[in-house]
Amino acid sequence: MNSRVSCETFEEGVWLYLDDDLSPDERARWDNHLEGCERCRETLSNSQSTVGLYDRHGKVDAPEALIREVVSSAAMADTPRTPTLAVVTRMWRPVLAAAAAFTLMLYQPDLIGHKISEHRPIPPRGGYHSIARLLADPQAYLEKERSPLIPGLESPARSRWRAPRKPDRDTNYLRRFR
Amino acid sequence: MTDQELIERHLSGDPDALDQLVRRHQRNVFSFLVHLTGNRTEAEDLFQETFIKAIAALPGYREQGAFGSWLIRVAHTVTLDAWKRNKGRETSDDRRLMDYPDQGPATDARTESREIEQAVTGAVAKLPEKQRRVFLLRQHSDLKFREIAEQTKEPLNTVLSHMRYAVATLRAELQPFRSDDIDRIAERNRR
Repeated sequence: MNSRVSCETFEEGVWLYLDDDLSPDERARWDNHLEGCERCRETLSNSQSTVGLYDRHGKVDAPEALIREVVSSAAMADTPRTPTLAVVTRMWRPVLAAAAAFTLMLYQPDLIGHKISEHRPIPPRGGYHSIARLLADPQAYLEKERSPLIPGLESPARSRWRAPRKPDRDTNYLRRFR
Repeated sequence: MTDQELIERHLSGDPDALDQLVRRHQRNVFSFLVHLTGNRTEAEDLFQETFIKAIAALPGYREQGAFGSWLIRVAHTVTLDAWKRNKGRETSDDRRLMDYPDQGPATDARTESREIEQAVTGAVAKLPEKQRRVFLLRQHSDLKFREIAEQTKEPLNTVLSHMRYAVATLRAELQPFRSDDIDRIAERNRR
């Protein structure tokens, strides 16, 4: 720790000294050396004056047009910070989907039921009012609607309804000759 | 207003903040690139690329040291990448500044001042590339030599040696411009 700093060591590490990048012990030893060494003081002074010359006379301004171009192209390349309709839609998509499902359930509960369960082949009817009637008098509502959730109340006419079979092409073709 | 405040204002949508930020650092970054490449046209391209990359990275930027030093690191990386891309280019050691900018009317004082500026620019351009990189990184950023060693991927002793030789070369080149001459010219410019 008490070893002395040589001029060679000082010269090699003069930039660490100038940038204050030495430990306190090292710095104290270098300071001691500097006090008694005129040559190293000159090295230090020359180094400082040379970089000072560069700092004063080596700086160049960018052209104004280039600065404007950089700012405008960076602004264009940047992500838009004002939320657009698309961004808002994306952000609120889950909420909108939930709201749409809720609304549909309110106004067309049978449609939702039809999608979810195959036990409800009855076409939607009534909507919101049907819920109100169900809440007011469940037994009357279920009897009237013949809900399939209650066994034995399913309407045979509706459940057995089939679309009329469309005559195929060959039958139509033969019919011309009858 | 600090750089960090300007960055936050820019990210929150203030259109003037970016302009202020670029103007605040343009001189340092452009000088770095002009001296590093030794070519003004190339420096202009790299200047644009540096700022566009830096601005694009601002949302993830975390303040660690000065923003200006971070910009210089970006500029250095952008330059090295560009040099790698242009493999057939002439080496930057062969370059000299041929088109030094015209910076105003040519009065006597202005002419003398420009003479010093050209001498400084020419002296830096004469440095070997590795010495020049170390010297410019030290002069244009707050990076410590240990950080410059990381940036240039060289040992600390080598980096210190590059710096020492660079300064010795510059001192020899700029010997005619003694400090008292420079002060005299600067004093005349102020008047």
